[in-house]
Amino acid sequence: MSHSNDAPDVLLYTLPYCPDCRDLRRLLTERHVTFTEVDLARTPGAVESMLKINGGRRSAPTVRIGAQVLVDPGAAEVDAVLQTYQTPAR
Amino acid sequence: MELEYRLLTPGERWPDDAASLAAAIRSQGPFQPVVEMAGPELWAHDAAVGLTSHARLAPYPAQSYESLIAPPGYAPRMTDRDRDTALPFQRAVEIRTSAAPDSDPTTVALFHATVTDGLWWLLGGFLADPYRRTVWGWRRWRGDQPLATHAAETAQHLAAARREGGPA
Repeated sequence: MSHSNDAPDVLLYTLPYCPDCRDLRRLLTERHVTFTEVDLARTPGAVESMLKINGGRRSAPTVRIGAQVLVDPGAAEVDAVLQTYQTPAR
Repeated sequence: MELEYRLLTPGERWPDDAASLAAAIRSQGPFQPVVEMAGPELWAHDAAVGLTSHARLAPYPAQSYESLIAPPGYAPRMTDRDRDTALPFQRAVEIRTSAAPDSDPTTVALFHATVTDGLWWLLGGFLADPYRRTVWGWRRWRGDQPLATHAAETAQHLAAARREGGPA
């Protein structure tokens, strides 16, 4: 799949104590991705909205990159999705 | 019959909305709880099964974790990552579920485990389990067995305690 090279909207659901959330936040920052972070413990309605987009998997971090939703992803998985936004549309 | 767990957590306050905790619980078990919070107290009540869990947020007594795991205390059951990435404890949460003596122990234990699991997921930390004399890390708690197995094991321990005349 290829997209235009517009930056995707990125929404990151996190929990304050969660080491995998810290890792993913760091990865997105290192990749110079602009993202909105939602603290699941501090944002009313956030748990429900996360469950709605990720198939009911109660898991943090969950990240939505454009239309793609990844649950507790590894760096390679995130990079693969980000890569689709760096390929010029044909 | 009363069940209890103790959560040692880096969280300093309850989640900001009760609905988020209710959703976190609902997503993991066959329950439809309503959650209410008032100051340091929290209740999760499911009218359909007639069960209520009560949680109380209290300051973390210094060295509680170290005291718990000092021999012959509780066995730590956690991954290296659970241990290595843990944040300092700030609060201790006592979670209790009370039920009538004729209640099904496995259902009560599952409700207790599911409510605790939802709170724990949002707050983080380690769980002290008096029935198995274990301090659980999250990855082992969720990775080793499903909540239904936790509940079944807890119910077995309760039944054994009753047979021996101990507290149940």
